[in-house]
Amino acid sequence: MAEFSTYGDIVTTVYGMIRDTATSRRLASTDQIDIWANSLMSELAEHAGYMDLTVETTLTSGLGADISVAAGLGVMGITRVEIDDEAIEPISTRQLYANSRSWQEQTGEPRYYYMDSMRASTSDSVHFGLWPLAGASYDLRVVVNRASDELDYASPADKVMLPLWATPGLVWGILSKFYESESRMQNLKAAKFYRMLFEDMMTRLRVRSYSRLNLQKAYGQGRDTRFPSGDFRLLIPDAGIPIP
Amino acid sequence: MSDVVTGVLAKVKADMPDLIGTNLRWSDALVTELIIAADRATRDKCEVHFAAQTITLADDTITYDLSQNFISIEKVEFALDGANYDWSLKSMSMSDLDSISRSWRTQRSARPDVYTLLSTPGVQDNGDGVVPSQIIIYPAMTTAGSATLLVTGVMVPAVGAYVADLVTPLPAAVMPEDVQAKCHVPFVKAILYAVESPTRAAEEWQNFLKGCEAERNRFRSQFTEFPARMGG
Repeated sequence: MAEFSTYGDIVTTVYGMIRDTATSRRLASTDQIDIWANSLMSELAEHAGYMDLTVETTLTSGLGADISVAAGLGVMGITRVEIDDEAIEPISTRQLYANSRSWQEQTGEPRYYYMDSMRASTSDSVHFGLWPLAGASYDLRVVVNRASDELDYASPADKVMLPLWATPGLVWGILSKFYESESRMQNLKAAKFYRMLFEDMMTRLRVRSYSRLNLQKAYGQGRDTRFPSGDFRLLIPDAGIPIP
Repeated sequence: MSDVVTGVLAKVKADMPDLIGTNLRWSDALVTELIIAADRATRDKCEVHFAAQTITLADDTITYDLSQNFISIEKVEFALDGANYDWSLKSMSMSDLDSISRSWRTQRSARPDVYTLLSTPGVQDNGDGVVPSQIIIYPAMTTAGSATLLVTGVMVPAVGAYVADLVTPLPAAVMPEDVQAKCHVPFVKAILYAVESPTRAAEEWQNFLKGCEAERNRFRSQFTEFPARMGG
């Protein structure tokens, strides 16, 4: 019995639904299914922002002008950058130029990171720079919002990088692509129905992702709990605000 | 109350005679897959099945893996002796932790106060060592001894298998008969009808949603802080 946890489980169920097999491939090839599945996983990552990856490396002296992070089908954005275990802030190059025209020459402990004016991101990596450039050796930690590793039927035992509850949604998405494709099996109404099921899962994954720290918000509008709450009380020290 | 797979399969076969089974329109194996999908969707929509994972803390360690069975996390408790859970951790974003202390990653204490999460609960390890779904605690313990965390939340039980890392291993999924009839059966029928009659499939999908809402109301409406209706 499949547990809907591996890519092989997903493909087997898709073939069962369209009354085909991975051996005969009369109606859809495994290459087609791979392409559809990877496209859907990218869409999930972009819309739901459900997966974080922590990348840790050592920043040697003089580095920091162009750092790239790549993972799986793509990196959707940078959530956080830390130098020696402490977070640093984002900044724009415009602000850096306003502060100093020679900012690119300055070295020290990096205190800001910037993403504008960097080379165009390739499909699977994002680039950012640090200011000032590393004046010594530092531990660099980057938390990125990423997409899944690439799915390939040649590795059917690979786990699908989704929560277990959401994995059947990938089957509905692939079936939607199958019935939408220009073939003798085309059925646009069925494609629309399966797409609705996939989008239902995608919406729920987005809600669970953005409200992951607060169960009560799961069905409301919620807020992005990955970022500051705006609760000013967190800024007040335990001993209270000192009287000047 | 009956096993989800056998109970729902019998109900769907009763509604669709001579269509499911050996050499018929749909095989038992395929419909069983759809029943597993229906069970996952039902537990996600209803949010009434709670279970817990125990995590043994380690010295100087702030990050721990979460079970792939989580749908969401409701509470995290701490036991210094690994048995008496007498302390509850608050949830907080990493940015909020920064406002408490910029060096929160390196600070140590005798008891953690706060937790945060990396990735949505339940995201699976891909099998190659990438572990996206994790819990991070602050402050970590220099010497953990036999301390443990108890992470409680809405979970998906394994269907037909046991999950080793949970407090009470989850047996094969069971559900009340009326929940199977109101939620699982219309979900499976919606999937099966989709190609030949998308309109009928849409009706069955609406029945599934109505069934989930009814069950959600029955089990959760007494708790005022939880919205009884999905989207409420």
